Amino acid sequence: MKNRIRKMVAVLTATTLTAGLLTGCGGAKGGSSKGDEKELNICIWDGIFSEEAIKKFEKDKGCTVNITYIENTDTMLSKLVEGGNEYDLCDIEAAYVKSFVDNGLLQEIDHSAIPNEQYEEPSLLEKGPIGDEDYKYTTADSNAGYTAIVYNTETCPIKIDSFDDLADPALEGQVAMVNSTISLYGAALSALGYSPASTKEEEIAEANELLVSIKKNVKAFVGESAVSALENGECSVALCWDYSVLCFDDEANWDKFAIADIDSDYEKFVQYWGIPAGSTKKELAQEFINYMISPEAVAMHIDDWGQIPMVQREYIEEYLPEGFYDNPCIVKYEELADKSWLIAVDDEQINIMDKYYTLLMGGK
Amino acid sequence: MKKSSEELKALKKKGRIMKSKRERLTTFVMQAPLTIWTVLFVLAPFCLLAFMSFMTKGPLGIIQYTPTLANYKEIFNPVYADVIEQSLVIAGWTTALTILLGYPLANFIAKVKSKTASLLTILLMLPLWVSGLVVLYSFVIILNNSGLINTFLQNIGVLSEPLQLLYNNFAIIVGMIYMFLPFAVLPMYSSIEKLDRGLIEASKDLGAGPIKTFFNVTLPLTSPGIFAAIILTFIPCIGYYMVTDMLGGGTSLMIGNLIYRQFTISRDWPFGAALSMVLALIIFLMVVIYTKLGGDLDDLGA
Repeated sequence: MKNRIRKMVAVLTATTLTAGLLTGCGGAKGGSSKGDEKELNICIWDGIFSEEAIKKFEKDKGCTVNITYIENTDTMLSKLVEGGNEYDLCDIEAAYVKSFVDNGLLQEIDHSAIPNEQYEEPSLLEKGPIGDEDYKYTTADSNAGYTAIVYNTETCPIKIDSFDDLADPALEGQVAMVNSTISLYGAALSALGYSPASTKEEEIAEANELLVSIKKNVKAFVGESAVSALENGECSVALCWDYSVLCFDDEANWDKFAIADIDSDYEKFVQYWGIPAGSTKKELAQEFINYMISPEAVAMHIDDWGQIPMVQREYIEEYLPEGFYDNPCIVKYEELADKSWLIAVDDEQINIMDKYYTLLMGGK
Repeated sequence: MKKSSEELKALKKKGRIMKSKRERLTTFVMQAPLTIWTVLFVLAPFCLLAFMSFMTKGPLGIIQYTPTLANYKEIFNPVYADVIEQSLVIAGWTTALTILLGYPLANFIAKVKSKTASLLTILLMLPLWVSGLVVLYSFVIILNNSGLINTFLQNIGVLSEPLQLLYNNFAIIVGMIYMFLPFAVLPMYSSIEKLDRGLIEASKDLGAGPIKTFFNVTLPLTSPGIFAAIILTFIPCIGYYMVTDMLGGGTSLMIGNLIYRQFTISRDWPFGAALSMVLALIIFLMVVIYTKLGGDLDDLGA
């Protein structure tokens, strides 16, 4: 009798599991844009937006914001290309906007539904990103900065005047670098006097040689942030996008770290909001954008993550702590505006660069 | 005439006893969840990956269904061959060091009282219950210039300058051994525990010293556990790039990084799929060699 009960329980469990498995396969949430009208599926970078601000939006609008965090735009692109209409809103790096627009992945934005754009920095509003210069498909978000050489003023043994200086033997084992292909090769190409957007293999090969000479000094290639390597003293210099993070992290870092004034330009990064072509929640997405770029919300992003405000000072100052604009990274951001480059990612260029990147990292 | 249970088992093994319809239905129902799971999430993706590896990359990484062998040809490009070789070397060193450190530990656990052995086994398995990322970040905290070790040694006056413990080969080896030690120790412990102590006593009685006994008796008899440990360490190690990235400073590329990059930054899924197939082939060959040498797949959890 006991055996019979055991068998029955086992068969029932197995049947339930099978049914569950099959139901699970069929019951996956389809294109999120077809889901609940009061649900917004967004795809953003971690460490940029205030979760508190997002919660406030949810509360105010009585909706749910489902967040997918990404660590690079390529992941987002792959998901959009392969996975259909999964997202209602994406936060896109300027370098990728052209790819998104050219391949019809974005829908037009109704700027009249985003009145808070008026508070943004005029320089941002003048011209849109490469591929969407007229702001037909995108609108700027609140994050921007530079991939620059940041050095420790107390421990860096040499004065850095050029990108090539990173290859100086005095810096052996003291350099940290981002591992982004475009950032690395763009910086090397710019240092050699070529266009960072070059697709000429001989120029990229030359840039690779420069990077190989620098690699001898590199202690760590970092994916996300070089802050810890700089702050804990592992490295005295880094090619990274973290200067503003360091400056907002601790006031003691204002004198301790600086951006090197080099003879070539630095990569600028700006983020843009875009609504995927398949989303049916354009209105809610625009409401979300409008809220996220409002002076109040931007102040919350800054409070959480430390950023250079992309909202004009007169509108945001009341939300920021006293002395906020004394931060040297804000002055530096303005200084570097004319000494920076920004390119659109090109499939051909990425293919060549990635091959050399493999050679750089995997070569003997 | 009634058959003994052992005879019945042997006949069942040979398939001579036909199962009743009811038994077959029960077996089918019982195996269905695992079978469906395996087909949907193991076999189907694997076949898809194999298929994709013969296709062509299109704009934005969209796969174009034009058959080609170019992805496999590309693997023989020295750039990629070097990365595969580097991954094999790192995995080889990690496996060798893990086995060398793990064997005495497994031997120790096998010899202590069963309660202590259980406690040690749980302690050994503890890192497996924690996310690998958390473990590796904790190593960064411990090993960096202002980390626990350097701060302690500087505070007690042993060091004036911090030791360079992070972003080098030392950190990679420490991290790798930590991550893979449980996979090596457990099969070796199981093998050593099963060892007939009488054979060691006999060897001693016949005049063999401890070293001779170890190499001529203990080691050959526990070799299935060592082989299993080699396989269980080497296989995950080849594709594991988190340690080299986080503790080694990402200055060298592993095959895992290469595959990851193809599916993200390069958006070259067909080439990524081809690299994955090569990795799968290496693993398959390792398992074939293991079975040819007399290894039992059960020891690998198969």
